[in-house]
Amino acid sequence: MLSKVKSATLWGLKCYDIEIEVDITSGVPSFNIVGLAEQEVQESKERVRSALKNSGFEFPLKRVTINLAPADLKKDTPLFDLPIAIGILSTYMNFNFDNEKTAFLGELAFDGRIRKGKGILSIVHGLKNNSYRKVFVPKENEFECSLIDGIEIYPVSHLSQIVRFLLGEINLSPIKFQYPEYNPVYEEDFSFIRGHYLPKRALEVAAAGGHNVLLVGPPGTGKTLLARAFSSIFPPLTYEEAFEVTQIYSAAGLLLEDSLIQKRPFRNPHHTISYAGLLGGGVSPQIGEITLAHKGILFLDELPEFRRDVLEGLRQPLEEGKIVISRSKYTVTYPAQFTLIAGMNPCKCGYFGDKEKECTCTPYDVKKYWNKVSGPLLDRIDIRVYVNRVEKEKIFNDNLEESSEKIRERVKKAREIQYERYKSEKIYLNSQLTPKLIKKYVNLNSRIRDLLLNTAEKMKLSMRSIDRIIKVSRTIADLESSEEIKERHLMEALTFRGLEDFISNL
Amino acid sequence: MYHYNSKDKPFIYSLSYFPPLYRRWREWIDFISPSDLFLLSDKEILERFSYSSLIQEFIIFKRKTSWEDLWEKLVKKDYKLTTLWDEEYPPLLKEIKNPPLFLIYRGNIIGERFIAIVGTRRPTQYGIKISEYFSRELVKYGFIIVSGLAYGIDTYAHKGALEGGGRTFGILGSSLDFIYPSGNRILAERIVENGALISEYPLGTRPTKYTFPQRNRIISGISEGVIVVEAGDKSGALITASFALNEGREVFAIPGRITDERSKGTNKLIQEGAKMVLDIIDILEEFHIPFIYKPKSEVVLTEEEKKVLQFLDFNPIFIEDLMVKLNMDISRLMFIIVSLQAKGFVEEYPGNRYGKRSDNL
Repeated sequence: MLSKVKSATLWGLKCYDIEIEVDITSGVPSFNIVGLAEQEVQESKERVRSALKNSGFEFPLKRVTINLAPADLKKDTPLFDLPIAIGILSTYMNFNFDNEKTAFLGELAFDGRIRKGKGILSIVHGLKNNSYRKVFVPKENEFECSLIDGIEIYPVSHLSQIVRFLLGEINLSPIKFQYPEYNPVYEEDFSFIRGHYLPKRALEVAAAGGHNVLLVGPPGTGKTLLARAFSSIFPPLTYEEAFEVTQIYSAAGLLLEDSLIQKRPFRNPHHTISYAGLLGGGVSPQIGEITLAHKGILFLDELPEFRRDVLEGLRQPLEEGKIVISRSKYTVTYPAQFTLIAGMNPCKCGYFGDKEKECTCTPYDVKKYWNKVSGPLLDRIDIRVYVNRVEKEKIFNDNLEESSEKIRERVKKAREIQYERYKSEKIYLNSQLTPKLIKKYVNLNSRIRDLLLNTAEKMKLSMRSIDRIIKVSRTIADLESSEEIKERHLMEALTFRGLEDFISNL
Repeated sequence: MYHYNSKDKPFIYSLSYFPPLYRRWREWIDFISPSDLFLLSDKEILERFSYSSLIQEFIIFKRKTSWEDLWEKLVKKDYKLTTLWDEEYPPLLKEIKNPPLFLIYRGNIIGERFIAIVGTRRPTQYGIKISEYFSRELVKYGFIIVSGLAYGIDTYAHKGALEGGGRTFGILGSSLDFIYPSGNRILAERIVENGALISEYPLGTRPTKYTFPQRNRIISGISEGVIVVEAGDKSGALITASFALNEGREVFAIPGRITDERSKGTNKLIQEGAKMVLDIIDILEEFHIPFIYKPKSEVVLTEEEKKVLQFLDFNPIFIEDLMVKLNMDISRLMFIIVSLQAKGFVEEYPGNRYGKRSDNL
């Protein structure tokens, strides 16, 4: 007796159809699964056997062989429990479904319940694109599936329920497509942060131009607070972006009860994180923190404490907005367009540049501390701002600070100007400007150029510093909707240089 | 009586590789010349010295080493050597109790007036500014600034002298082929071009905690006076000061706050009788050098610039606080600061802080 059932699995973020063939022949009773089935799938034998028995069905006392095709794709998900069970049952039950256009997804419990699975959103989305008509998903994954139109999705909670439905004994209604209520929520707000004029303005400029930020400051001055509030001044995710982010979270099994992620992701990995943890990879391609921060913010606090090779790995994603993970057994590409915000102390003792305490480090100590951070990574950070302590009087100041909403409006407008300017290029924002594009799009009149060169000489700025200042001035001008870069834009950009010039001149 | 001959240089140099004999040169030099020590046969040497285990050891040392090789290495490096009896040997250094028999140097060792500026390796902003300022100003009066090439005050003293267009000497606590700290290598090269890098140690001597106090006697020995800028309780700069005191050189100290760890040493020096320095005049006075009052060149400042300058101080102020005090927006304020910086009134400090430039002390 032979039967065929369809299912699907994720490899990376891509959905692959899987055909499950069940062959039952007479012989010594046995149960085998072939087709590059990993441990997760091998164990499915026990779950399927128990679930079938405990749901009142018969497990054939024959030679049962399951084949998962294509046989060269590694399969490591428990979602095949349900299709295997259905395949076994359909050898002796008279089911009524189109086995070419119907897919099953679900992990079985011993009592026949169907458990919540990972990556259902991406799989169902992929099945839809592969023109499937029906798909059965775990009841608990119902919420994420309501985002997909064009395929009948049946949420099921128990094996016996789906069997009775397939026999035509009961009716199930497919999930209705719901365009999610679009209502982004921001938990943090800039109006709660007293003082910190300079860092807040730096974050505004960073959000507007997509620049990466480095917050440098003595311990306890509010770097983490600022970083957390950073996402509140970004324009909300568009529907397409939100869907993309939701797919990633679904694949990583991190989706909570909301159907659509509308908040920009904020990821804050600890500095002990491994290479695979941050960038992705592992035995099977796990999703790394940088991909979870896609379209959002990656906050690396205590930057010098991160392992150097881990930080070096950030260079490709920062440049290209994606990470290609190549291992001997596989190559996958994950999206990773994030804004990096890093926090660090200015030196070993923490008080270099502090306005009250004196630093007790030797120049050598300071340099050694900064050398822990990879230079090429720092080069990709356009805005560096020093977070100094806020005067105590300011803490009890009742005057309201500017709200994130107002800043967000300005950021949005500045971004629109940039999209328009770069519409014929492959870039969107000022942060992506290459030296060649700077020549093409950023015009400094001779007066401004002279001012910049004179200042650079006085302040002993490096060439890289000058490049960054030009990019950042462009964004500051965009925030004012000014076509021309004016004196004041340049001057403000000068405050976002951080400590680099001091360190190199020590 | 020993009659110096410049042909003795290789022997004096090679002898320094055998410190027991080298250090006690005064005891034997009148009886046997350095060249004789190397050129005479073992028997003759033993005859001239009354038998001692020291001379036996020296003979063994002589068998193992070749003075030609040692000298060759030095000559190859293009390092120069001057002995106590040479013309160019710093005159004041000849007068101290135990002057080094020779100095190895790069650059130009001839100079007239020397003054040392020393202090802690971990200075405060105050110490940095002060050492730079005094160094920069003193070179204008013809002083050559002597210091130890260490991090901190030493570094800024050298830098100030170079900035002021003057000359400066760096005295090492190791041989010239081991520049320490290595982070100051670039500075060392600049010193060679505008002064000299000096060491009393033969090639291959690494710096140790014993060599630094030894070299401090050279720093103070060369100089007419020693200025201690910032020094903690047990700073090496205090060793330099006590050498200076014993040799009858002037000791100057910059006062600091009594609560400041890094001013404890200098304040104590003042209490014990070092001259307290409040301005460059205090130093010049001791050497009977007239202070040249130079009227500040007339720089025209705008009203706004004057206003900003009023709020600035030598203690740098954080730009946000300045914005609040002046009620000015950031870009305007930065514009004024940049222009004040160009006119030489303002200096930038790490952490978006600004202060008055120390030229205008």
